[in-house]
Amino acid sequence: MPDWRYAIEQRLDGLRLAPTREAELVEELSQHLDDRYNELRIGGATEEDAYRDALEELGACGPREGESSSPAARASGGGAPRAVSNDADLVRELTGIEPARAEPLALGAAASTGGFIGGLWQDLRFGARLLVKNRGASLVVIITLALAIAANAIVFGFADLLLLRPLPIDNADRVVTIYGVDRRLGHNREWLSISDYLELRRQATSLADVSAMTTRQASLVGAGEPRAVMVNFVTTNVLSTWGLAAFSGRTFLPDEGTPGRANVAILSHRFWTAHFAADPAAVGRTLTVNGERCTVVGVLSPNIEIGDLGEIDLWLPLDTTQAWESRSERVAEVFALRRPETTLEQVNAELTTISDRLRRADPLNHVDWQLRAMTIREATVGATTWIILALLGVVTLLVLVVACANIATVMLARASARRKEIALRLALGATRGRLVRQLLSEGMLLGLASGASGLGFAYAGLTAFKLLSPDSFFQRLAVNGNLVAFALTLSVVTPVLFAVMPALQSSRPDLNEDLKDGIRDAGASSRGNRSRSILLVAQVAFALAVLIVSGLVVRTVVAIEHVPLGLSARGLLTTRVRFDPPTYTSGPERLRMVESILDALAATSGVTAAAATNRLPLIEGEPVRRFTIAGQPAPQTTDLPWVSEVETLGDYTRATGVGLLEGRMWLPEDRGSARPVAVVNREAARRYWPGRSPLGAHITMVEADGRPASDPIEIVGVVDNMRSGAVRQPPPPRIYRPLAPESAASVVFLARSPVEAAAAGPAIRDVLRNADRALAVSEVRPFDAQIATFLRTYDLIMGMFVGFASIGLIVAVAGVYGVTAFSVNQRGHEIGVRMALGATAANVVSLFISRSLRLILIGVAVGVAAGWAMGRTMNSILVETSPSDPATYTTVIGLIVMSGLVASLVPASRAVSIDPIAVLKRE
Amino acid sequence: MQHIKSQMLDRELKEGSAELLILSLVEDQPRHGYDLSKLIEARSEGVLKFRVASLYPLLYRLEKRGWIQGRWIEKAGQRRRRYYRLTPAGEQVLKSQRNTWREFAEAINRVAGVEST
Repeated sequence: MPDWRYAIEQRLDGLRLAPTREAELVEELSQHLDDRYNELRIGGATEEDAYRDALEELGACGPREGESSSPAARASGGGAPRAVSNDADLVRELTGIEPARAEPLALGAAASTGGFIGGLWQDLRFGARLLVKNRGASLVVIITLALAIAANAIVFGFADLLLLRPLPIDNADRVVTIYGVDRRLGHNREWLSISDYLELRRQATSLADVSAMTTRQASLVGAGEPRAVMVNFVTTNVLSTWGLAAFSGRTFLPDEGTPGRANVAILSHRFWTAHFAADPAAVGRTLTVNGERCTVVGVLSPNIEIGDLGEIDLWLPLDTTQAWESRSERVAEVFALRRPETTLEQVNAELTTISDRLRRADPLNHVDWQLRAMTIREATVGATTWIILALLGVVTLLVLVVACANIATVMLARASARRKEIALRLALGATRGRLVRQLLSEGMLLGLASGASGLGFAYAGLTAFKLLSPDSFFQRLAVNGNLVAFALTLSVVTPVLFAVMPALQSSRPDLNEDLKDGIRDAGASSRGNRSRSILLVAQVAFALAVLIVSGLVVRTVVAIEHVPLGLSARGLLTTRVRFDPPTYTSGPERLRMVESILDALAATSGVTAAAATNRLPLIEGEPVRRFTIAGQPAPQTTDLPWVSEVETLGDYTRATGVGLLEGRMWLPEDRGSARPVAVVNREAARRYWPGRSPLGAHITMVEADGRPASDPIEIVGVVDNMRSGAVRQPPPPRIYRPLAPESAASVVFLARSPVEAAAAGPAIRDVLRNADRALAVSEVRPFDAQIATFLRTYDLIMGMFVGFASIGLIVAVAGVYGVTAFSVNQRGHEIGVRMALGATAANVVSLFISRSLRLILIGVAVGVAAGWAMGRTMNSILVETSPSDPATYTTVIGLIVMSGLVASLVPASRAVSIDPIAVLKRE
Repeated sequence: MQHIKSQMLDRELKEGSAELLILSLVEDQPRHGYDLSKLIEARSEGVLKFRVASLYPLLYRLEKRGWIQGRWIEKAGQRRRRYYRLTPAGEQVLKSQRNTWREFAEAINRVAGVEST
């Protein structure tokens, strides 16, 4: 009997039938053709004729022999009324789909020309039905992948914000930021001093324009109540360097800001909206800033209000001829416009030359110092941010790989369950490509569903980050077109990762094996086991690498947050106050007012100690001063000892909680005394008076050129260390001096309160208002809240790492569970036999546990290597944590091994409950 | 327009008549596909013939509509075969189709002046 299956199969192929349906059809039609063939043979036909005639029953693509298409001819020629005149009806009948016109006609056509898109659509429909059928498993896969995609999308959101989105200035591609690299202080992004800025501007030829800005607090009268505002003092060319236009009015004219010109100011869009109700008439109004009158000439574009610039209220011209506190103090943020014909490298080459010249001219202020230009994009993203972003990228990518490996295991298991069906379809002539496409389509559906859910998760994650983040820059995070495209790409690419291997493997089964084998052994091949083992090892390894990196980040953040600050932030309230003309015109006058306010504060109930200082501890930068020590040989000017300088007044040690270790703080007679005094911190004492007490020593401050800048100062006390540089940096050597009259124009008041700090706020404000109703006072804020705001970004970063690592861990542990459970199911028969032969429960459990443990340990070995390699790249961002921190390694390895063992113990203990009798009976 | 309508009528007629044939043949007992095609050919004395390509799609369609039901039945010493039997819904349809056909045939006969034999 001829085999019809191939012929039938070929004709059915175009229909994309469900495999079981297709098999039934093939069987039924084969029987029909067998019957017809037998009948023809009995009637005397040769084998060939019978075969040909029977096959003709199936129909052919071309016009059928002996059959005319005209109804009349059919009637006369004995042709049958064809029940289904159009073969496409069959397609419709069998699949419920209206076939495309180009679709090959069902039984009557060789289906090989089936449109790819049409076929894909069929595959997708079939896949969707299967996924809905196994909706529990599908849901787990979708959630796993969605979380991994969301993690990647969130990190992409940051990358998009920091790297991809255009900066809101026109000259973004040519603007460079110029920093000083001070290797001695270990700072690679130091601002420049005004004098260095002026030199740079004079000497640089590769730069078309050089501009500077410095942010100060100022008092403002003329916009509601007198208030302290943030002012960006800028050289008038800053806005033109950036290519930034006015929103209303105009920007600065080139010669504004030089002495003799009328004072002008530009409002930030935010300030204009908040305090002038966005009134166009605000342009032309007169304001009093720091006691000087100026005219508003414009409102700046709101686009620029990102990051620190979002805090700026007013823009004023910077008078570079004015003597700043010190021309060597590094206060200026410098921007320059690269000439179109020069490259960044050329700019940096010229900056090296200029740095050398500056060093020769003023060695003291340029020790180990070098100018460096970077693109504004690079400058916007801090060096640390780059590393964190890259790490987050790698971590989330690994989480995605873990998720894909996990899903691949699920797909393998599922493909194993369908092994017999697949073998049958292959035996009946289905092509391998066709099967792979079918399996890939299912993966694609999973990917798309996960991508859509992942976008939802990412949106929630980014929204949460924006709510928690104190940084206005991050408010621009958004699910935009870039991010959607990214998520979509992942949802299309990831199925290739997790579905290809199972698809290729299951579409190449050993036909004999699989057709012979019962369901019990489906998928038990050694090849399947090997794939599952590799996938499991990969999951454990990558999850561990993610855990190691995240563990190091957690250790660092914890270290930063628990580092002794050196002061007691709790119960401390701060406010900055300005003493400006016309009320306050001289230093001594200001100082008197500061002292009288301090007295009033100290007498206020709820305030136990009050002090004034020119720098907010920990948060505000401090100027670096150099000095000589009396009685010690004077070193080279470039090797002079240096300290951070802070001026204080009042009960500073009790107000801040910094411990007085030796000697004393200020006495009333220190002020105006002919004998200047100072207090140093422990770090300065350790460095410059090693092994002895600095008390009684005399030092002399020196100017940039080495000239003495002060009378000899006597060290009268030593206080404990306090950190600086926004908490991150270790305590520098520091000197405290009594508040000088010339520093009293802008003063921070510190008040310690034993009650809930915020409660004393109104009392402090009352004291200030009673002192002078017109004082420009900034908000009275609890210091711990300011520190917390500062640290919140660290918390958020830590939270992200912990979140992503948790996803990785959970997925990997679920993978261990899944593989063990699969293996238990697979070997149920074997277990039954073993138990019938006397194996104990412990034997059975250890059988599975030892296999799991072996795989987990291999994963741990690979993961430790990967984590170690990644940890080394993070060295520069780790604080008080070694990249090979033993505690981190021990914890995360313990975590993954223990949770892995528990995950395999659950299914393994289920194996014990297998009933040997039932197993043997089934035999 | 007229032409299209007549084509549709033609098709519906043919489809309707083929359905009627199948339903009638499985009314008394379940039958498999080859049996049905042989019966139609024999009883129409060779005038009506169904090819595989027409018969099976029709069977599946009737089954899908719930008028007939196919079941795999294994008989001793034979391969299993798919037998189709009439469902209660199919009985109703058969009854109504028979009436329609009778009325239609009589109308044609009356008009065409063909004597029924």
